[in-house]
Amino acid sequence: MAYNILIVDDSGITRTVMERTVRMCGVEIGEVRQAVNGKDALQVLSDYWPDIIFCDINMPVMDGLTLINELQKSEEWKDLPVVIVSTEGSETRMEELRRSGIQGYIRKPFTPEEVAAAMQTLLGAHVHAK
Amino acid sequence: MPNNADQAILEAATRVFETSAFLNMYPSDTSEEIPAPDCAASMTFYGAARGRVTLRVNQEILVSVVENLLGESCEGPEAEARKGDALKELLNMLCGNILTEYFGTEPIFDLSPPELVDNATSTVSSQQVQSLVLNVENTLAEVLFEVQNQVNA
Repeated sequence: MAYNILIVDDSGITRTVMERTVRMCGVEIGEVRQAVNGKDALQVLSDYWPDIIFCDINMPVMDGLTLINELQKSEEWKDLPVVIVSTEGSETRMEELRRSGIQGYIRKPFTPEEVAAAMQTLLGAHVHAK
Repeated sequence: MPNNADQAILEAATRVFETSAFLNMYPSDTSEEIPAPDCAASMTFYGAARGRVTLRVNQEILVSVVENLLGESCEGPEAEARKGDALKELLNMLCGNILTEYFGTEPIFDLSPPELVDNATSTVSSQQVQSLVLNVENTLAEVLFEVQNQVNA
């Protein structure tokens, strides 16, 4: 099974690095789309059905936490796994985010193995040997 | 600032440069006759403490960072913008990792977006600033970590 991914981050270089990492992590990947903030992500979701979202926290216009709250309110998207990708190292903040509904967390800088592990845990994705 | 600031910067810089950009680095000093920093980015943090982290590097190393991060050559009309974005992203990762190394995992911080700053004015001199000079693939880099006030740390 090939997984569709949505990457949400205001940094173009981070989105590119994340997409590159996702594609080399050993999991079969289908389509990857990108959004520059939470509002943009909601627009992308109007005609795209990802299996998982990798999302930054701090973004202009609509941050990651607000996006997660919006997804939680939606019948269509409330069960969509969201993995936060951030430099955030505070356990206190992580606990807040877990209560808000995030299913995973990857701390920057990240490795392909960490991305694969998140997809394996949340989606049951098979990781191919590289 | 306490001595562990030095260690916090080194731990964070090692993780960021080596894991994200695949670049070797080690603590150095400004006496090394290798390319010096000629560009800089800076960002502030606030919450349990307020302060600023600044990263100064030589543009030469940013070419390697872009190529290693993106897997494509750093040439053409967008090269300068990409180097700037790479510097800001390195700083962003560095700042988050320094804060966790220095203050631990309990306090919550909010971070400002990283901004490119004038390299000449980015060197601050204050007792509140910890500076660590690094040799990154035979170019000099400097990380400045300034804590202006500390509430809960």
